[in-house]
Parts: sequence; structure tokens; C-alpha cells
Amino acid sequence: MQPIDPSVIQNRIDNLRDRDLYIHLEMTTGAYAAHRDSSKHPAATFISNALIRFSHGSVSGGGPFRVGLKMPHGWVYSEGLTHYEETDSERLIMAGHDREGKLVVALQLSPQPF
Amino acid sequence: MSDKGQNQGRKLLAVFAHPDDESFICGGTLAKYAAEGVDITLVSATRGEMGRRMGNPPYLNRETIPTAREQELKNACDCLGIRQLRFFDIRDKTVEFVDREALVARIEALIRDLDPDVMLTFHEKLGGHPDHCAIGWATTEACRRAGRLESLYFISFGGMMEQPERYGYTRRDVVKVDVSAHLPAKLAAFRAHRCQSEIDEWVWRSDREALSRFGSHEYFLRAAPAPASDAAGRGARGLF
Ligand SMILES: [Zn+2]
Repeated sequence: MQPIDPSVIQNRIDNLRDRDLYIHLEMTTGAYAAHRDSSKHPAATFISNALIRFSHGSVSGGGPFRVGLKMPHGWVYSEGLTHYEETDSERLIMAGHDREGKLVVALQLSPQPF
Repeated sequence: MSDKGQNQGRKLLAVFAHPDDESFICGGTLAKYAAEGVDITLVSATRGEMGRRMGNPPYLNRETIPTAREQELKNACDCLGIRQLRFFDIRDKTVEFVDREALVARIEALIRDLDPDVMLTFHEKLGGHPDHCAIGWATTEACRRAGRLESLYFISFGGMMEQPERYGYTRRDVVKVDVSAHLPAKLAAFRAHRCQSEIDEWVWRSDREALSRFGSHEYFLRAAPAPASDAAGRGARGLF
């Protein structure tokens, strides 16, 4: 994983426009948070391999970054993205990691199921 | 208790949820029995692929983490002396949502096939994580159906079972295993689970310093009451 370069991400997003894509979208605060500290409110959500299509999308912010994708009937929105997988050219794999390196958010798009 | 070979031919089946459960929670006990010649089979229901620890800076992502954690678990098994490793290929976080009957049947078939002397799993309420509680419930149910509840023990975290009364149990329900001679193997297993343990700075200090963080005992809860005749705390086929 590499820190996000917004121009690279914008380029990748543009290349994925107007085609069927599988999305993995996730946000998590960690299941162990409440086990260690009962005042914490653990939350996690993910959707894996839902099929979407977007007509335009962009990356914004100065880091951590936001991404918005316009779909025919709605939006995909994700905030807090910090890293992307530079070795994967077919798929766009992005994640947001906190100061300890723990994953907080993930947004992944691929023409093939994950 | 530690004569090598005294438990030759004995079998232990551990059914857990994630790679690292076996090392972080009861690695000392597994290393001890492996060293005594017990043939250990470990089941990991998932590959821990929804874990949040992915290196810092992150060197893993959601798509590369399953293979990485599988390999780390294989390395940890080598450190502990576990020879048989199986995955149930359930996606991390979803153990409580899979077909419960199918999961119980799968574990029951494994119990009947292996005929282990002792089984370990999570307590269905004290597991601390939904996947832990779900695999613990399913394994307990499978043991019950196989008529083997008296061979089942629940693993517990750290010293929580030093005061079993707090959880509605008594001292007779608790088995205490001295793992002091096997802490180096436990530390090696912690380090094998690198992407999970590297965030914990103490694991990577000198061996002496890191080893001092471990307790000398690991605690287990009996799934069935101790038989009255069992003065020494060990069942007929039991290792504990
Ligand atoms: Zn676990």
C-alpha cells in the first residue's frame, strides 16, 4: 500500500466510469473496542461484491481523502482514505488507516468479484 | 506432568475463530501438550481477513490479508508444535450468520472422525467477540450431540478465571495449567502472527522482557461439572 496520490486516484476512477463494477465498502471501529472498554460503542459495516456503476467520480481533500461516485440513482461516498494498492492495476483498492495503522475504512472497486 | 512422551497417542482438538486465537489465548498450553506428544488438530473457522491490523505503515490490504494470515498461522503452528491445521473457510465476522445446523454437523463429524481425548473452544457467552461466541456455541452443541461434553474445556482470557465467582462459576469448574516452561514457544507464536502483534511493542523487546509479560498459568473452564471421583482433576481420557 502507498499513501494516496490524488492525481493517480482520479485517473484510476476515470478509467472505471460507465461499467459494471463490484464494490467492497467497509467502515469499522473494531469488535474488540467494547471488550476492552465497555464505554466504547463498537461499529462495523461492510458490503462485499455488490454490483454498481457510476457516471462520474472524484477524489477530494488534502489527505485523508474523500471519494464520491455518482450512480444512476444515488451516491457512493467514503471519507478518511489514506492508502491505495499501487501494484493492482485492474482493481482500485483504497483504505484509510489510523495513526496505529489500523484499518478504519475501505473502498474497493473491481470489474471482477473480490 | 512434563515427561516427554507421557501423552503419546493422545489427541486434542481445538476449534477457534481466527488465526492468533490459539497463540494469544492458550499458546502455552498447546505448546506444552504438543511437547508431551499430544497430536493437536487446530480448526480456524476464518482467516481473520476482516482484521484491522495490517501493518504500520500498512503493507496488507483486504485482498492480501487472508493469505498472509494463513501463512502466519502455519508458522505459529510450527512454533507451538501443532501438526494438523484446518480452515472452515467462513468469512471473518460472519460465523454467527452461517447455517448453524451445517456448522454444528461439520464439527460433530470432525469429533467423531478424530475421536479426540480433549477439546477446546470458546465459551459461548464469555468469548469476547461475536465470532468467538458463535464458534464456541457450535462446538459445544457438537460435543453435546457426540456425547463428549465431559471432554470439552473453554479457553479464557488471561487471569479472568482466577476469580470464577465473578462469572457464576466455582473453583471446581476451573482447570489451571502451568505453562511456565513453554512461554518461549508462546512468544515465538506471538511473533509469528506478525501483522497482528507488531503493534504491541513489548512483543518485540528482548526475549527476557517480553516473556515477563506472560502469566505462568492459563485457565480453562469445564463444559461439564467435574466428576466426583476425579480427585486429581483429570478425567479418564482427560489431559487436564
Ligand atoms: Zn479471535
